[in-house]
Amino acid sequence: MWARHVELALGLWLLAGPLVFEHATIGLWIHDVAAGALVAAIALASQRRPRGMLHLLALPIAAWLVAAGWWSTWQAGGSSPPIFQNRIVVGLLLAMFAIVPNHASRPPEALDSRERGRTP
Amino acid sequence: MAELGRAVDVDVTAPPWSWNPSAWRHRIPICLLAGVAFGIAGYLALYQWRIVDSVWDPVFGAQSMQVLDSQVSHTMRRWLGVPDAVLGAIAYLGDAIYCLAGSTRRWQYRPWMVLLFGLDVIPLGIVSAVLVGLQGMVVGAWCFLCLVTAAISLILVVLAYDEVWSCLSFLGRVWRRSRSARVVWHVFWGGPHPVSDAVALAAR
Repeated sequence: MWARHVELALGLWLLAGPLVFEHATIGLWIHDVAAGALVAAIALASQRRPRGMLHLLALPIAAWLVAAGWWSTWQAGGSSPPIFQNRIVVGLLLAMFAIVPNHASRPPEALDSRERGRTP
Repeated sequence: MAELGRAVDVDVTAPPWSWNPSAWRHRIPICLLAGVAFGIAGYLALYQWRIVDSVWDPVFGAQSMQVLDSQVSHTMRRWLGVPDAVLGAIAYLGDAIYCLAGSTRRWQYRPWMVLLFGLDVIPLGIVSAVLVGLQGMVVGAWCFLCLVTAAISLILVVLAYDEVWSCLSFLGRVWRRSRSARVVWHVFWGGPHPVSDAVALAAR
């Protein structure tokens, strides 16, 4: 479950991006705020449903962030402003953590039996 | 599913070894080393971002900065979008994260995670170590901290290979027993299956 906490922090960092990197256009603001809100929402929802795999929804967002950062860098002729580098780094980190299951240390069998025990 | 519904012993030896390569006493050193390498690569990235003004190098002095500011490094930065040391730092962080995740029987219960960890540590580690080793020939200068991270990469390969091998060996036994790609696929993703428990602790 610790991976979900890190994802929440990454989402909040994306939300703070426009203030940290002083985005120049409204489009850049909307992009990072929307991505950050989605990442944070997925992390919170995953914590409420620990057996689900909602956290994998963060993977396409991570891929998008990396692709958007790289694309913007190519368009800028290889010079990469901090805002685009931030997207690439956050995207890679998000992908890394989003793969980790909620209860990675619990054997699958034990998880099954515990959940069955809770069933009324 | 022989062990379904009762406590599972997660500290067992993993054939073909006589020890458990997923035990914390084997994994913690890997996590610590990867953490050190992450710190070093992160420090080098801070220099490439110019958040720090210089790089500490007790052996080669200013050569470190020549390496980090070389044409090769700038070319890689244009391709990657971020300084190469940043990607190195993320890869080492991945080593530590995937080393920490999973139980002490993850070679059986989460093979995909062990193999992902192995992919991050072994091929990436060897390639990065070779690239750092070539810097003297390509750039004509050496970077002490880069060489330290390359050495750590190779040590990580040595420390990690036994767990990866026990996992591959386990999946091989599942295949030989079941002759079913569907069963192997199911077990690979950590699904409970009678064949998994039946062959897990069998040496052959």
